[in-house]
Amino acid sequence: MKNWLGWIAATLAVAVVVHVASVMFLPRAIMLRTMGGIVRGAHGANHMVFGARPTAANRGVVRPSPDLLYSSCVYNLQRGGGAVRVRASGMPRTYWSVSVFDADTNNIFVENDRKAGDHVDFLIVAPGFGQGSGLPTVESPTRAGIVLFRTLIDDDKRLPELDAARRHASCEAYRAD
Amino acid sequence: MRTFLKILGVLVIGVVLGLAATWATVIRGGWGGAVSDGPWKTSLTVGSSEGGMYQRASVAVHGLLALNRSETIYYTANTDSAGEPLRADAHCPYRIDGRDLPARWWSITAYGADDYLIPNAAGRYSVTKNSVIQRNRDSFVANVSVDPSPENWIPVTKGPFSLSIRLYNPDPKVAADPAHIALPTITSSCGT
Repeated sequence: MKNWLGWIAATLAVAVVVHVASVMFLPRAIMLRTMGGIVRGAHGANHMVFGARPTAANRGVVRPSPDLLYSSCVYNLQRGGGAVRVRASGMPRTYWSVSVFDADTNNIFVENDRKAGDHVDFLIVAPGFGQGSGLPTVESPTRAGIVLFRTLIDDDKRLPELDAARRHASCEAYRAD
Repeated sequence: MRTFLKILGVLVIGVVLGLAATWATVIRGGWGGAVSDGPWKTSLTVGSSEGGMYQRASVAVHGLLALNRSETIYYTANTDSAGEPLRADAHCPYRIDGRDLPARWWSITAYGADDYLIPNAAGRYSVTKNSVIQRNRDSFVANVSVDPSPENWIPVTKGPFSLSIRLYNPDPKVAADPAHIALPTITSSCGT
């Protein structure tokens, strides 16, 4: 009997370890899969991809908003020489935001049109990275992650105009002049 | 040999139990949230490092790339206001009764059990602050149904579904007291 209790305890211990490990690893795994999809669409890291308006046919990211245009980029600080520059100008007059997610799904930065107006320009850097550019910086605790622009379609008739304007956003390896 | 088989059994059963627990708590459990306002649930730690490992995993599965509460607050309903699971069929449409929501922009969107938008011939998925037809004094009624509805229609197909409210740039009072902002009620026409 005592012997069986030992085996049962060992089984439960394995179950607990597997459960905790899978719960902890799941976000990173899902982010890796999502980043892989964006990189394929953009033909590489540190390039923006401009997604079409979400419909039921979209199977990239769960629970998309059908009222937003999503523009995304996988930043990779290693491939970007330690910093990635994100900028946009001439953004449309509607709600828009730019957000940065690290590889653990944390939303480490967000700014919207109320504060930024029609433009934004900042660097994503590794902690301690000295760049001296004078640009605002966002420190990423992970070497890769996702930059996501959301642009609200406040009127379906404006879709072509909004789609054209949001394509002013870019994401690229930073090169100090 | 017998000991080896026992060890193998411990590993296999342990792995299966561990993954089953993950499925039950994270994958099947839905996004959920610690705060409820009627059938709507939310959490103010979505998108932030304050969220625990279960919430982080749930959001990754059911709402990846969700913004933090300073930008957007998300509410999700898997049940109607009577507590019954949302499940569409041709005979029992749901009615959403609400008032203009306290945010710069808001939307109510239906999702299938797979967390993706629900295919429909009309290509409609949501009712928003901009598109909603109001009745009087900023109140509205939206209809969630398989068959078309004349106004504020959110199409669904037969089977389980869920609803999400997005509050972009919410009023400060939402983050201060997310359980008491008078979110819409969800009522099945067949009663419960």
